[in-house]
Amino acid sequence: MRQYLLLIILFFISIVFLTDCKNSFSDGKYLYETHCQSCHMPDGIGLRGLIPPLAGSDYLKNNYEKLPCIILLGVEGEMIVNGKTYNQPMAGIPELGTMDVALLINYINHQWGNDGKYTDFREVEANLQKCE
Amino acid sequence: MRNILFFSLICLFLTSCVERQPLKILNRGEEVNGKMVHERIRDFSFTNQDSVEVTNKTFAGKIYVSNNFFTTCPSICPTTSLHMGRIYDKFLEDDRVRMISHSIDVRTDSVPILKRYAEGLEIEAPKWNLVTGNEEEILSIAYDYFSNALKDKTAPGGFDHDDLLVLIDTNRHIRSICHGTDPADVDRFMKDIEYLLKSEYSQKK
Repeated sequence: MRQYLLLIILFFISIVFLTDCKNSFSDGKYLYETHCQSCHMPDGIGLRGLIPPLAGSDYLKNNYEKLPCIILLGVEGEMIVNGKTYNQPMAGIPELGTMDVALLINYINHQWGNDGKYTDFREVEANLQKCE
Repeated sequence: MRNILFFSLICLFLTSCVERQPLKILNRGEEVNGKMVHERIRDFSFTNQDSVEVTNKTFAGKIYVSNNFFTTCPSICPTTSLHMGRIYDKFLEDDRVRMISHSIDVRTDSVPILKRYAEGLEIEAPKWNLVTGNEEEILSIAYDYFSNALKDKTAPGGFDHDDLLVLIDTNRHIRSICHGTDPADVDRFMKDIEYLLKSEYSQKK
């Protein structure tokens, strides 16, 4: 009897973990669809020479620490992504909280074949101290 | 068994006979002296990204695709531009097809800003004209294209407009419309362009 109880408890714990994993991406997906998708496109390809891609982007990897500042405050001026120069200002999303920013970065870093780092709100907070 | 065979043969026969219906003129028509006369796109004069004047004459003998946008539009414009870009690429070599995108934010979108946007889109005039002009004229011609464009402080970016792409024939009549944010609808629209090309230019030869 005891063994069964243990098994059942284990089962529920694993369900909680699994749904939690799923949720962290679905929240990020929701944030992406709300704030980013209309310019960076559903599949992250961007818009020709105007809006840089997020899918397979070297900029995401090389500027990992800048991402929270860019998302919250926006960015202006020339930017080189995968060897191509872009120059269209991006508006920031100042209403996002640090947790939202972390969810968004984790989503973008693990979509469309991207294999970037995981971040959390503490790291986002630390990186926000370095905004220019 | 025989019945099934017969039935399938009939089906095959019927499907092979189905031909595409011609694209109708979508403008309102009126009968004048026994002939249908349809409303047409009005006369216009705008300026494109190269500071060149764009008028009805720019599209004389051509079919063209029209839409509305503005360069700082945060909502539907980038997606619409992406799909306009697909049309541009597909008909790049065919000079019978041209395109015009009206910027409805004439105060912000000066010629240099349109030029930069065109360079970003990797497109060139006279194939695809990004135009500015008299605000009144730009906003009111939208109605000729069955589109809505108006100032609205509550809308994202300050303007309210739709995502329609409109196909105009060589007689300034509207022949097809699609939603520029719906990839499948744009696919259908591109087939309509091919179909219109065939019907427009076979009559004239």
